[in-house]
Amino acid sequence: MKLSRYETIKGPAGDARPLFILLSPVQTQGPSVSSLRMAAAAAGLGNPYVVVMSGHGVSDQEKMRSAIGADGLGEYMHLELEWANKPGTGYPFESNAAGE
Amino acid sequence: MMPSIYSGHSVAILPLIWMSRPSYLFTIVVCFSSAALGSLRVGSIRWDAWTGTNTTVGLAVTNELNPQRWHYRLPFFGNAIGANSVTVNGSSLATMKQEIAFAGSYGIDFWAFVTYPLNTSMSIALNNYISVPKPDVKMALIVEGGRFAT
Repeated sequence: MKLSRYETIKGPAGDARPLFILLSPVQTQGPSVSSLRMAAAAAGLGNPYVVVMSGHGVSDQEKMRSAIGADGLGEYMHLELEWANKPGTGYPFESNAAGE
Repeated sequence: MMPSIYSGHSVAILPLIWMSRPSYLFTIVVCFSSAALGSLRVGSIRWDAWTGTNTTVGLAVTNELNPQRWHYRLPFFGNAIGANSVTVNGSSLATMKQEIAFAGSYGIDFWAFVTYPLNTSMSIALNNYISVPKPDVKMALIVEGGRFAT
């Protein structure tokens, strides 16, 4: 996040907030999000803009966002769950896409 | 669009297109960085598994592109070497420089890298990217919940 090439989100006061995306977090990770914010502040960085991203619905994601103290929501693609049991088998794209 | 978290500011991350197996590369990310849509920022998720067939995940994504009907999805650094056989290895620094050039020319503002230990094959692209001075494309990080401290 210290790198000048690191993407930031403009905060309401015009501050630059490093974009940090959590993919499928769990509800016990609130303290870790807080620690991330404190570490960023200690490094002189803006308050990270933490986005919860998963393949679940917005309602569940909002609950997660609230539970861990994140800032925004994202949506990742639908994962056809059967695929996870078939890594490396060439499970066809259309089967996954059909679940969209 | 995702709901605004606080007044006058919203961020949305949306999957729009896939250039290969959606679980591995290039799901488009869109971020609105302020209430003014003029500041739209567009990013792309990188899940860099195309490192050849020496690893389980590299073999998996190669196998997925082996069928001839998927050859049209081969990235520029891939090659069809048979009717149902491909090679896909984007591990070189030259490939990264070309990717940066392509992404920059098509208006990608940043890449969001899914993070792995830096000494693993899944971090080759990130390491290559970091080694390029002043790239046209910025970066952000994605950390999976399982790799984020509880």
